[in-house]
Amino acid sequence: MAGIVHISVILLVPALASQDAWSKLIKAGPMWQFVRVNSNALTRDSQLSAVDPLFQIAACRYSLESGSLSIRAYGDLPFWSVAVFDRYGEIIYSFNNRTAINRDINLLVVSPLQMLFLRQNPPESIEQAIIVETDIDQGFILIRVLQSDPSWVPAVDNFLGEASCENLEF
Amino acid sequence: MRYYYNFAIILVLGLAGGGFTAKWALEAEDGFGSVKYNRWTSWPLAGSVDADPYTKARVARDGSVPLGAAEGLTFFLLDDEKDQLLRRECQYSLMGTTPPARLWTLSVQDQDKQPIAAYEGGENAIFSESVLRAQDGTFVINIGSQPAPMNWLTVAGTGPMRLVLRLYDTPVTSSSGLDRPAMPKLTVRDCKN
Repeated sequence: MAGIVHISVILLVPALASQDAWSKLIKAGPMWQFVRVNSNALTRDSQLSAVDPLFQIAACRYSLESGSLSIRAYGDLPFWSVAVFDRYGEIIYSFNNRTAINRDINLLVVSPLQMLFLRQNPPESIEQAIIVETDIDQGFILIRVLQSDPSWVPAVDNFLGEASCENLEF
Repeated sequence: MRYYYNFAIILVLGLAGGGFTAKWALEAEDGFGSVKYNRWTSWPLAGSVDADPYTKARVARDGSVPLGAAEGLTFFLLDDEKDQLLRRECQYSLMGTTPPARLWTLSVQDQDKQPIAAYEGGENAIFSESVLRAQDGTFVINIGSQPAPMNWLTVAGTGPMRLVLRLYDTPVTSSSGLDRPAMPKLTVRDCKN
């Protein structure tokens, strides 16, 4: 009996957790919009916990039901990394500025069906994009940017402020 | 009647026992899915689709956003070489090198995994490129409230703490797994209780 309860609890926690990253991000801001998740403007309820104090982090929630996700950001910074999470906080894909083309962020996350359309008539605008195909519906994306000292604040603010999280339809 | 009593007892014990052991498994500092190297604990599969159910439950419960394989890897240190839990009122020295990484940061957290404020005029996080090193590449980082030469990671207040070392863009996260990374060693310099 105890064993059954133990296993059920462990397996149910991801689906029922009320303080997981997704729930916090709902409180932090709307979908399809980057939110600075370690900014002082957010409450403890909406701030992501246990993140690196030397990093600035922006998050954007997406849903592939209404179209694909396009992430773009420009600027030459010493280090940034991007992770595509599903709704349960599992990482589907991650990369950093050294593995990116031109050191810019140009990422397209699509469902298998959207991928099919994309293969048939690829738009020119996505030629340089990293394309990630996934069968998940909802999730969030994190951009983590190193801000090792205050002199980097303007460049980092500019990079994250200009970052776009768009719902693209083909 | 006795049957129902037995049933009730089994039900209560089962719920309590199962719930308690599940909570315990998720709060353990070196639970399922963790690996230990020279006292440093890491959860290499945290946030990964391949993680075990315990690691997945822990990530959801903590509301944490682990680093992806292409981003980096986080290590925690909770106790010193004498098995004593790290405390903010003590002075420590961290010596040695880190596993290979493009960059790394060292910071401190309280028991709730929240960052600890810096001592006035100091830093509560250290960036690899600003670390002063010896000629052989090794470093000494002094940690605590008392000013120290070379590298000083300041810690204000009292109570438990943990060290957090985050390696970014590191081959340690490659699919070959952790191949005995060389972790820096922590020693106690002074501990007034």
